[in-house]
Amino acid sequence: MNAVLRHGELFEGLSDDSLRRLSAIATSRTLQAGEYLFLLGDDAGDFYVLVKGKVELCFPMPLRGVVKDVSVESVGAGQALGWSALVKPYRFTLSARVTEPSEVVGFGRHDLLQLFDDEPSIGYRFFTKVSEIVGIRLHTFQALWVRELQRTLEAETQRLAESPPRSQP
Amino acid sequence: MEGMTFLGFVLIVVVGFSMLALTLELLNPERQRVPQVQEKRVPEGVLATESALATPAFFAPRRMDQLPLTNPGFDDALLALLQNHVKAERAMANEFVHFPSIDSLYRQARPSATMH
Repeated sequence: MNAVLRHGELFEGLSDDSLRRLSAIATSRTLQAGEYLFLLGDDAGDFYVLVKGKVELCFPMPLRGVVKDVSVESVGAGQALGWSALVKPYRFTLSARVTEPSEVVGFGRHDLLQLFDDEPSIGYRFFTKVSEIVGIRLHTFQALWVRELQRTLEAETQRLAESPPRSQP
Repeated sequence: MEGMTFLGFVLIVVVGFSMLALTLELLNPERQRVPQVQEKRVPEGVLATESALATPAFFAPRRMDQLPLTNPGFDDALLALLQNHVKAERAMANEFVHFPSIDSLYRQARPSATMH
């Protein structure tokens, strides 16, 4: 388990002792393609690191009465997912669908926070990395939203330009 | 004699006013509009239903064909289009995340992958 965590994006630079303490609270889980690690709206109690395989983070979109998954991000080996477990209101805001046979390591929120209380240096490194992940997500969706707004503005401008002028009464 | 003349004058005035009133009433456009307005005050839903029922039958199948309500191929194609759009937009957003600038924020995605 130590070797697995050592190569994860969250745990770079941690000492062997720190990795051992993290391993002690981790639980491993295997999933088959098509399974969901979690669903949008689920209670987010665990934070995950993908050991092997591939997971797609998706938002469910109703398409004429049938809910379909639209993937927004792929997560590969060594990457973390499920930071909603560390941020109120502790609910997942995307669904995680497994697309290849995968293995994940899960950390319960309470166990992690207890460990960080005991070893603040681990918590400091951990949350520095988590804030990077959260920041990237924030900037990505900010860009997506602004681009969509700009497109809406362009479409509206074009619509107004093409509509015939109203005659004055 | 004078009494008869006065009575004839009064009769002419009364008949004249009556004819004038009758003529004005018949020519009043508002009066003609009332029945039309009353006819229009049929509930809209009823009219819509009647209109739908009155649609010639040979149009109905064509309209149904244009909306493939149970065509999974159509849904898959729509989903693939949406997925491509998200992928292309994500790629553009990633450029902005790593190199924030006005240019990288508003750069157009490739037209083939863009959904309008």
